Amino acid sequence: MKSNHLKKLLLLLLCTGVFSAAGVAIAQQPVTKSLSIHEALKKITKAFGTEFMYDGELLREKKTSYDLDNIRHKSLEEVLKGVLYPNGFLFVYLKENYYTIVPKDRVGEAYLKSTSSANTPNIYNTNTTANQAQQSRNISGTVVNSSGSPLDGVSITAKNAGTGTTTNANGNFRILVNENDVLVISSVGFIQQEIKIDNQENIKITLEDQQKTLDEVVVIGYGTQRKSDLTGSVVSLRKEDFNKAITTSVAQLIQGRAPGVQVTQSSGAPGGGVSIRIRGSSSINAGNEPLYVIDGLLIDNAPSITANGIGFTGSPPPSNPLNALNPSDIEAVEILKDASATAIYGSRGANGVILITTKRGKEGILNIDYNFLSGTSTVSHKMDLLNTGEYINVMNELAKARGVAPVFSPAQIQEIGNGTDWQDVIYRSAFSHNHNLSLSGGSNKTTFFTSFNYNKQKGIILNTDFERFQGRVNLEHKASEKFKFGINLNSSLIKNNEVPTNGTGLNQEADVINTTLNVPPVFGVFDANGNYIRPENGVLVSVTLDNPLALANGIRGHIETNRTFGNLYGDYTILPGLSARLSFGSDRTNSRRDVYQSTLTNRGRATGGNATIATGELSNYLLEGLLTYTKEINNRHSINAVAGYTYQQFDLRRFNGSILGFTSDLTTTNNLGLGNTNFDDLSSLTTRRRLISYLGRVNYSFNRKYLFTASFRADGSSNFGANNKYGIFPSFSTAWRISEETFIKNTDIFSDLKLRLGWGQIGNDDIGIGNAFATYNNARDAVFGNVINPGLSPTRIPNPDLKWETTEQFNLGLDFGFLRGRISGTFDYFIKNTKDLLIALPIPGATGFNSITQNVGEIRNSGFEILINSKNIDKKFRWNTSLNFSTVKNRVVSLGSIPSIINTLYATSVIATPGVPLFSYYGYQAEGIFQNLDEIAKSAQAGTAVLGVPKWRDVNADGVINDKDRTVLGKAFPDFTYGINNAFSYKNFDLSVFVEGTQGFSLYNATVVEALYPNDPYRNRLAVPLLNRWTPQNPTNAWPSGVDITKYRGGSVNSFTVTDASYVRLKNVQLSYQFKMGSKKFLRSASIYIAGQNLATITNYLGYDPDVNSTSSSTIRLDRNSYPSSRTISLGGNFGF
Amino acid sequence: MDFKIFTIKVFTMKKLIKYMVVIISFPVINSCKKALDIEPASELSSTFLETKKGAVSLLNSAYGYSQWVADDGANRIYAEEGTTDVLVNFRGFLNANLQPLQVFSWQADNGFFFLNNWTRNFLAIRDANNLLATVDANKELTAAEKKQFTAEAKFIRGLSYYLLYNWYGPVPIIKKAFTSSSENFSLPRAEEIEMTNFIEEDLTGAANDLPVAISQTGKATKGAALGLLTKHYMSTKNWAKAALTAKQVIDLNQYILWADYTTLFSLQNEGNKEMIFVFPCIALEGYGNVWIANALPPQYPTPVFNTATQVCVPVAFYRTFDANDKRRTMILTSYKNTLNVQIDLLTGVEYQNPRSLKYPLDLGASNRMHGGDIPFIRYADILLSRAEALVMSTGNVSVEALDLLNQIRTRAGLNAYTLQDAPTKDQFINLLIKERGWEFFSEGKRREDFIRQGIFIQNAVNRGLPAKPYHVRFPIPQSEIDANKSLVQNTGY
Repeated sequence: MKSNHLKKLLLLLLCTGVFSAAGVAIAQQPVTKSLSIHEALKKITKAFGTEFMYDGELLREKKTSYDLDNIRHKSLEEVLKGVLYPNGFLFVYLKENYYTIVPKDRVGEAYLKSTSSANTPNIYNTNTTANQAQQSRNISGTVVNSSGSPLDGVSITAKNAGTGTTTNANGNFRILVNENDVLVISSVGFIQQEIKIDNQENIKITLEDQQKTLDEVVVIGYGTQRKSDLTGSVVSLRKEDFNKAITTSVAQLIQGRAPGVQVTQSSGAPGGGVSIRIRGSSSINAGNEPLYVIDGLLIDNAPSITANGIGFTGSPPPSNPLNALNPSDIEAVEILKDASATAIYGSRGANGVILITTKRGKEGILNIDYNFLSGTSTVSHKMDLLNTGEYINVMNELAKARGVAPVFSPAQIQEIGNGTDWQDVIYRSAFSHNHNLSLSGGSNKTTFFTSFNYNKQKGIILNTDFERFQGRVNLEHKASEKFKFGINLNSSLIKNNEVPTNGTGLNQEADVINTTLNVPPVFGVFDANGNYIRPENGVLVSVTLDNPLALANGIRGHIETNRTFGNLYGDYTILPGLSARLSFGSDRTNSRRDVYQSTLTNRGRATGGNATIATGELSNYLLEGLLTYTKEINNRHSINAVAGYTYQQFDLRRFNGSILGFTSDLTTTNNLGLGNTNFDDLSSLTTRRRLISYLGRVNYSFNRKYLFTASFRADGSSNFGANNKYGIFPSFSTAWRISEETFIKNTDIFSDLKLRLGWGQIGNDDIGIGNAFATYNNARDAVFGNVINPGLSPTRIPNPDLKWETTEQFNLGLDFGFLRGRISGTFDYFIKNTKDLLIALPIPGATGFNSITQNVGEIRNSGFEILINSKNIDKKFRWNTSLNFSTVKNRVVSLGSIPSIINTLYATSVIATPGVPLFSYYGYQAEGIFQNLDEIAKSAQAGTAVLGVPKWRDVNADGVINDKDRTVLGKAFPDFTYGINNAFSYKNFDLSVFVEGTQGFSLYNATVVEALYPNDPYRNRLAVPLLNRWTPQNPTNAWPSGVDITKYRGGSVNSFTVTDASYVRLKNVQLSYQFKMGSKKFLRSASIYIAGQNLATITNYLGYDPDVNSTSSSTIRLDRNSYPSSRTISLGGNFGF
Repeated sequence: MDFKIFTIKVFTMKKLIKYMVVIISFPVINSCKKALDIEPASELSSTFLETKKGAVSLLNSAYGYSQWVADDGANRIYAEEGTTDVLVNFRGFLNANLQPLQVFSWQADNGFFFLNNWTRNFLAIRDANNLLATVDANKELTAAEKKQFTAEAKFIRGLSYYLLYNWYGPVPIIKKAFTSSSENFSLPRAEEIEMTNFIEEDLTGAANDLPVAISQTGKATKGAALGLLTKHYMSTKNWAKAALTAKQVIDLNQYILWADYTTLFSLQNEGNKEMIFVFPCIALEGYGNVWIANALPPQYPTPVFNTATQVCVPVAFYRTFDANDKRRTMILTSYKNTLNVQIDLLTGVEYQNPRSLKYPLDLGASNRMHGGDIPFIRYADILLSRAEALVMSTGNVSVEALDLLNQIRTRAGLNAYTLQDAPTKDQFINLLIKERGWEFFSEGKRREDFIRQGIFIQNAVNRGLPAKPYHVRFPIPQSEIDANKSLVQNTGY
């Protein structure tokens, strides 16, 4: 039959995708008389019995002069061509005797959506229009998405009436239906619905997201990809996946949300530092932080200043450099975890890559969004110290046990009264507020997103705060069909005020936290004259510590940081499918840190006040050229290829000046010249690092079922030694979308099932600058007479063979979705072997050097990660759960020629040795407490121990307790980490509850060390070890006696001080209310919410917070005088105009 | 980079590709080789050593490491005296590390004392070796300067090995500069005789070429080299040579006994004629004298910094002083604290032990750092060394020996001994060692005095401590043993 031929032809045309381009030739027919197309189609219907569906509006004015008199002798195809083609319309076969008529340029759309084309409110059917009066009626309705927002462009068809339409921008539609008709509602990205119309006049329809993730486009290195096409392990987080009510940093947005990504706070200070570990730690000395890429710009996230300034001791973790980025500007965060995803970043990919994409403007009207958040923070957990009464009792009892007179007499106890809770003196309830204003929109040529942020947070410790001013402009302009260019620009000013925390200083040089925890509660803050009471001058007890409040008021750090980063890019389409991109990016940070220690403090008094100014400039520029090629062949083969060249340079310049001995505290750091110039100290540093890279990647997919990816990068770095200038980093991966196979498709169990397999080699170039060079530097000066004479000595023994660390990673992944996507998830298993570790190989100190930096040794990380999203209840009341769970097993495989590395730099002692997790705590294991003399006599501590002293395990059984008896006490890597988010919504209310936990790791607790080994006998300390200590009446094995600490022996790194730090935390709860906007035009949307952070923590750990690291080391973790974490309750609102 | 790229309307594909090629290839062609060769900008390349300033800086660094000041300087004295009867310590961070030394339970893992001492000496040796390896090729130095620098470097190396030998016994002898990662670093310990000869050679060589006159306090002189050589001969019991070398020092006629012992150490008398070689201190972090900060008792009324640790003179030792001994006045026995309470430091209960205030309290101190120099070789030491060496080498108490001892006694306000007081060698040595205790307390000489005379262990045992013969040598730091397979630990550890 002729219609059959037509059908075949049409199908062929559609399949080959050349329908509009070449398959239709427009035939010219002789003109006889003019007829409206509407009339013409009616005639054709009569003649052939076919039905047509079309947009009446579009065809209203159209006329045809085709001769319709003897059409029964012609073919339908011939007639339709004659009528429609001259008017620029085509016809599409839908089913037997059923066609739709669409404008030529919309044919693809019409086919895809079956029954309608966009923005055409009324579509008539030729057959039914004639007798609609008898059978049909008009109904109207609204279509919204699951969050209640109107959806436009949704296709609505009435099954019986054969009519169709689409919704308008407000989600509204009107459609002609028959009695007992069924509406089919469909839209790309949503699950199609069929609704039976009974007597309803106005219908509200909510469309459910289809497995939104499947067709979501995710950002990957140097490109984008459909999520369904991914072959590597990539976690993609969107707004709804982020932690709520976060204003400071991107790290906080994603903490606990992504399996395999561990975010640890270095400091609870506002804006405090964080460290991120993706799939464990694979390096001992090179960095372990991931690479950050912001809108395609690879940044260097090193701190610009590391100097503390006089008065600040230790190595306080610097504040997070990424505070320069406003979390509310972030559209998406993609975390590339396995080698197949990160190998395109070559020598910087080994620790994973975090890709941050900021918001863009969309074509349409101007959107103005304002949101605010204000909150109050308090210390999340006060340290449980001896209170005044307990302190007095313990001191008197210990004195008695030592055989000396009680420290406090009853009369004196009376006089002391309540004493002082120093934590209450130092901590406060702190207010914060955050405001964001953004404007976005654009025309069909230009889109823009601009925003401004102001954020001010007070810290829970006196005199600490964080303030940020930040702005962003993202602009893109389409100059022509072939060329577009754009700019992303972010600039911020951050001001921080600090007091010393995280310190290593002792006595009067101790920091605020240490002093607060150790000053006895029997002292008051001020004496009768209003002067600070100095605990070292105490009457009954004296401790060599300063007054905590004098420290908090007397030592101040003020840091101002300007950071601006952005990139400028141009995209040119050379040929269809082939485009070139050139971009230039830069990231510049300028910081200045001012520290003044005034004569309010003991130490400041001893030197007459002292001042430090440190400045740091970090600058990085990146030039990048990329060629991207995309090609589909026969709708079966899909190829995407990218090739590029990049050139990047990093510069660092620091200056540090300090001086002592001011005559007045008034000028602080404003005039260093007023100090005593005999006591000035200057230093500066300049470093440069350069990377030259070539990269390439090919993605190939067959039938979108079998996917392959191969990538490589060649990196040359100035950090590498002369003999190893370039490193090459390849990767291969493949995926099989099993759910696309008919045998799975037919079962209708899985909506998605994909198996992924990947392998790659990636590197770590963060091996320090200059290790390959023989140079001289200042380390020690000589004094002759009273004059200092600068010295220079060799810096190192150079190693010209030095190169990157190589990580080889294998990944096996499974993506799944079933129950029509109600449950979906991802499972990944990985093995990550890192070799050529950068190790400072110890050499005999007799050479005058400690070590030579070499590439030896191997570390292995392996583990699995699960992410599951489930829609538990999906009615009016909705409940979604998202769960992630991950494990990392870390193990040192080899250290080359040396058996172990024991590091004692950070007060604790940790070991790296084959078979054991990297830098496990290494110290003395207690087997209990000596309970009787017989036990002592038989032990390795015979002759030195007394009752109540810890009994250490004599590991090598040589009858002596010494450093050879140290053993592995615990590891800093958790057994597993997890996060569970529950989201509920009912009507306009949304509630989200997020719990995260870390299980099975240990932490060295310096506060316990202070409790067991106090620097002088009268310091205050933790309550638990003292109240539960061994006494003849309490023969416990839990805690030693506290009587004669010099008889404890062993060392302070032991099984009392290294303890389990597992925790579960109610991290985040948010309840929000979305106002119904109706048709009000001024306000587009409005919502308010109340949120709580860090609400409760369940842990046995005896410290402020187990989620902490006080070192600046990337591998060694401990808790020492760290700024406590806070609990925050805040109120916020979002308004769209 | 040319920003014409953004005036795109006139842009053609060809042009774009041309620009791309140019931009991409420019850095590739132009800088690929050199671009990745970036020397550290803040460090000096080795060519600097060929200049005079380079040599001076290197020598300064060697001196710097060999000047035992600040915490390392105090700790050296604490180790030398904490193991004897003239120092006891309580409380604080220091005590955790010093306690094992006080009770003779120290082990090789005590990094605070053994590793620090080892490392610092070898840093000085490294820099001295680097200078010795490059000084001859230096283009800017005169022959006289080369000779002088060489002598100074040898003095520093000799001093460092002297200190190492006195703590650990023979150690690896390093005479070269290490510059390549492929060298063998695991050198074994020297034989006893090699070690002592090497020190003797270095110091003799230094003494030959060093100037007699002192130019600046802290600089090596002929007197310092001979003085140190005297002490080296003393510790190796080479009595005859010791007596002879001490005489050479005396005959230089550069030194005198400072008349008033109580002002010998004061700030205004720094560099006085009794000081043959000192470790100069200034009130600067890392370069000061921390003695006072650690020695002051709690609540001592002073504006200077006072730490938690309590470094005391044991009551028992204090009581051995003659009541007329001027030297005793430098020990604090009671004070009125900041609360106006009189504290007695003679009860001997924990911190209530006397304090040595030998080093002056410097009101210009910077934190714990005071300016008073730490003497290392005093003329008094040379006189007493000659006295001891004469008696030990001859077995008889000579008039000269007695006279030398009496010079020290009379300066302290005590009566001179007669031959009746010390008729025999043993009696003389007994008196001399006692005298040295009173003369040199807080100067870190007690341990070597005891060891030299073989009474170190007995003294500890007498004080009820579990001292064993092997304790006369400290253990080589454990980390050094771990890093060097060819090192053999001292027996007993």
